Amino acid sequence: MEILKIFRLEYDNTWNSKVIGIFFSILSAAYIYSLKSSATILMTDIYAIYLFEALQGYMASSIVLVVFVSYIFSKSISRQISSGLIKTWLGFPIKRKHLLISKFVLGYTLLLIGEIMPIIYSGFIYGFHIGILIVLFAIILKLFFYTSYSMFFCLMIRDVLASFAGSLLSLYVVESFPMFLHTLGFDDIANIVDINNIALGLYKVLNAKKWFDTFLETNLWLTIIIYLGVSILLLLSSIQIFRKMDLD
Amino acid sequence: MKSIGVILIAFGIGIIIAGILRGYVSDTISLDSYVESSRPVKILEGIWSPRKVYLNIKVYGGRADILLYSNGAVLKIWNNTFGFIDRVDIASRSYSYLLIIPHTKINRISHKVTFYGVEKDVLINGFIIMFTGIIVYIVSSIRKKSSLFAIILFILFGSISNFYASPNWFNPGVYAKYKARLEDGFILFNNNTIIRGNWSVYIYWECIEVVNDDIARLFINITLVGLDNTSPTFSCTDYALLNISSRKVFHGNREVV
Repeated sequence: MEILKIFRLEYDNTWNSKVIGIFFSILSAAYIYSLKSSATILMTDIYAIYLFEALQGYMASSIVLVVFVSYIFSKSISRQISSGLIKTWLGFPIKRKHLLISKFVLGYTLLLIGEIMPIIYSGFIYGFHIGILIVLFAIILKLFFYTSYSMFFCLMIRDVLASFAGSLLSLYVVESFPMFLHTLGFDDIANIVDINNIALGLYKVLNAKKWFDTFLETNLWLTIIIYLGVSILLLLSSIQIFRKMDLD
Repeated sequence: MKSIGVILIAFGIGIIIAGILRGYVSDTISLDSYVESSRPVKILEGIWSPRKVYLNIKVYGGRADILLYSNGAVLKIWNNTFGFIDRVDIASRSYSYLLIIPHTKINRISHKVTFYGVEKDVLINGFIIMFTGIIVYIVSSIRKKSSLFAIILFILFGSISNFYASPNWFNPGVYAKYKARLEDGFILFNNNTIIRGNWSVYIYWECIEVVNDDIARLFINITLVGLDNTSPTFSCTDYALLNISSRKVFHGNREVV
């Protein structure tokens, strides 16, 4: 019950009708606008077309997502710590780690719903097939990394504006880092660190006859492990930092 | 519940914005293909977006009949042509193609197809989701559940006749037969003749075609079999129009039932 109360409070304080409304409408508009092929004639291989389109879709929605992830966590964590509001929250019989996890879970869930809804809607245009699951998997992983990174960053820098701007810029750097590596000629490393490669890589794996060999050859497993590992590490570090944080 | 309502409203608005923005962009597909053939050729096969389409088709080497198929039906035909420039409006997102049936051997087809205007389904979906959100929001805002129950009952009673009067089984081939006994009754003819007598009345109607969602054409036969020597036996057959939702029957622009 206490967790539900915390969810309610977190929703009212950080998320509210305005933020939810702006976030969902901008994200869905950006995603659906970028699905350009469906505006003319969808030719035969809808599965492949959908994946390329969806990639464009989530690249377009990535910038919106980066802005909102940074905004939500700077508001939920940095502002509440700097204003002292978090101490009132700790008046509830709830452990610090549970408080932080509930903030993370609510933020992650709402952001994920915001990303999933246009993907499901695109199913009505392109038809429902495994391509949608591939994109969903890529987005779940990408968002998990974004949120855990942003939460960690906002815990480290408690100033609201600095944490928002810092998180935004650093996530932008993470997004554009593979492109930078490509320009330097480190294509192999760039492919491994590019989180957007997961969807295309999975498509390639699922279309291959020997899918397990292809999975190993494309180094897709490495990308998944890196991002999953880093995200879990950041999440655990955030919990540890928050537990030992001096809130006075 | 309120949050779900807000999410749906925002998502609907997002879809509408995307639909309007997509509508501003016109997309052109042009191709020149060499098809040395006197057999029918399918071009532009795929799922067409429900927008307005500008078609510029040219057939080189001979004349052909060109048919635009959409959702399993012929949407438009251009007969015996070397090509055409035309505009069509695709109603729904469905599998469509142009079928070119050459009269003689053709050697080349060139086409330039431009899609423009808003996609109807995207806008409609956006509005449906938005209104669903508004309803969810309003319903969750009502504190007294008894008033909610009253609203639901009111909506149900208001629309129950529509549910009842628009059966989806009302298709061509549906028929009904009735038999009644008319004792010491009168029949008034158009020329004001009145006949009095006893009859067995047989009424038969059959749905011939459903003109649109509301109107159906009925074939009607009424046979009166006289039960005594003074009552003549006669039969009449005609067509009438039925409004499926209101159940009113019209004959020659006059409401008869």
